[in-house]
Amino acid sequence: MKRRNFLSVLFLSLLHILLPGCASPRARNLDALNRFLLSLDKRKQLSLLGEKYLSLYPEERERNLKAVLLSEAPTNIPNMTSYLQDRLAQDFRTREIAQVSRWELSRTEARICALVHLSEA
Amino acid sequence: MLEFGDTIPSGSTLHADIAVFGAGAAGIAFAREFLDSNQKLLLVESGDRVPDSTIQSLYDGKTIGSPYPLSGSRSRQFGGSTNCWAGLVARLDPIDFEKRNYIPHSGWPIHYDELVPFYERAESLLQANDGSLDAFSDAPFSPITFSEKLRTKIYQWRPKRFLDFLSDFERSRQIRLVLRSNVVALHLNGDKWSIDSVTVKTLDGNTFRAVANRYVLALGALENARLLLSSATEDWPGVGNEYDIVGRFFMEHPHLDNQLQLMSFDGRFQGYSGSSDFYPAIALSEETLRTERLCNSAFFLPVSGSAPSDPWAKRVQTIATSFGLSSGAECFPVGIPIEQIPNPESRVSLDSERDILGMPMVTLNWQLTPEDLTSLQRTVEILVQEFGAFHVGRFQNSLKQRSLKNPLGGNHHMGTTRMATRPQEGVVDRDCKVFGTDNLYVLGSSVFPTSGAANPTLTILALAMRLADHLRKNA
Repeated sequence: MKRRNFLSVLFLSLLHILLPGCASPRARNLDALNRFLLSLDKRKQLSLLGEKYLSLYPEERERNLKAVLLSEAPTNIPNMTSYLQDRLAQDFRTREIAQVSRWELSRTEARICALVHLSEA
Repeated sequence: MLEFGDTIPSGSTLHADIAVFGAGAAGIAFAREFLDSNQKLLLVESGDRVPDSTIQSLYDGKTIGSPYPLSGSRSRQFGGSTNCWAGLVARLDPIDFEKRNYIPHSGWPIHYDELVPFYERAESLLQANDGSLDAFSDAPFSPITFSEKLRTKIYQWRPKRFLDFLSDFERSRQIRLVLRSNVVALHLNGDKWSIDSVTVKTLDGNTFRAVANRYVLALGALENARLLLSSATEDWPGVGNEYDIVGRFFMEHPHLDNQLQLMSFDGRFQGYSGSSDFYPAIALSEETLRTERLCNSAFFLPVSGSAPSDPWAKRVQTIATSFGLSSGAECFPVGIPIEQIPNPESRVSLDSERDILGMPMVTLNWQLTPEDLTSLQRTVEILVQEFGAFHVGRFQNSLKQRSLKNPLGGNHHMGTTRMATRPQEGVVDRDCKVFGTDNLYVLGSSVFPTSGAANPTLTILALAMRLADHLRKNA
């Protein structure tokens, strides 16, 4: 993990520990999503996929992708990875599928990659 | 008893209770049922015991639809195309026999259950089992259990060369096997209800007649249609062809390779590349085929999985790892044979050009419909959805509008003398008897009204054994 990313995670984690209950449920979910994004490895690989996704689906650039990803979240997501796993499973059930370099991906995983790309840009 | 047409005196007549034309899988399986019978059977085969290029050239013809290897997909010798087949066998599925309102011209006049006893006999002949998951419970692969929409269908490798059955006929006193002899004409009595005799020619110029109480054509789906069509006259459409159906509805199993790649997130598809004994395929459940209104299909993983190698596959693997879905992804190319929708415009007809025996050559116009691709696309979408929803894997999908433009076939010729309940819809009835005749029968995959996604030989054998039972009971 890059030093900048490490410091960001550290800062957010401290904030989370020191100020429990201060943030709204929405903010806490957003915080959890940010920490998930920052924890991802092999970011370059994900970023390239996200870049390709955004080029194929340019309308996604206009969206608040984090808000979209958290749109149907419970008030307090206990485990972001599990939440996203459920969400991408739901994507496949409801045909929320994006084709990137002919790979059939869930919208959720493609959007995560897009967010990684946007954060690196 | 084994003879050769060129040693039979020209102008002579061979008599039998049943005359069978064509000694491929269908003709041989049928004839073997009479080895211990008191009925005299004549089995006439164009080829010899070894390949002969001149004889093989009698298969030459023209294609005007999708390109098709008319000669290369068949073998004109004793044993027929079992001499060149890969040997993959499986039963059709029960749904394949059903009238499916969403598939035009579907529905067999017989039910799957009626064929089961004959499937069992055919499997016994090939030393195969019923292909059920129970029969392969110890085999090193895992049946699909994660989704009710999907199933594992098992195919078996049984590349039996029917040439091996030659000695049965050489020893038989009841069956007269005549090689190097080509059926060239059916002769009907005045009212055109019965076949009176059949003309047989050799490449050496011998011509003789076969006279029998009953006649069975087992020449293959292209040649069965060719012979029936060539019986037409200026004012008569030919045997079994009152409604212009002979030769129509030619079907294949269009094969798509390199159009789909599976990335499995775990090792559950290890073993799907099969062994010398079995070959599991991924298929949609029959219930899903019904509710989604889809044609049958099978998805094979012909080679063992390998680690993702191309950059995009590696990126997809990275996502799966990031989401905690995969620790060891494997990629598999997928081979797909599909059921072709019966299409009356996909057909065999006669060419003006004739072969060296004077028979009109065939012209094949193999045509698929846009609905064939639509069905496949939705089928793939269901695979994508189910594998995705259950965190089992991802697919790289290269299917496009052109994917079925020039399809490869599986060397499975089907449908040209289709079985039906009435002559307006087919050429033969439920007993494989040609409509409008009382003593002419057809065997082989030409009688299939629909093709399913299973290789046809097992069903060809089952139907041959079923007809043998029928004719023995009604001797």
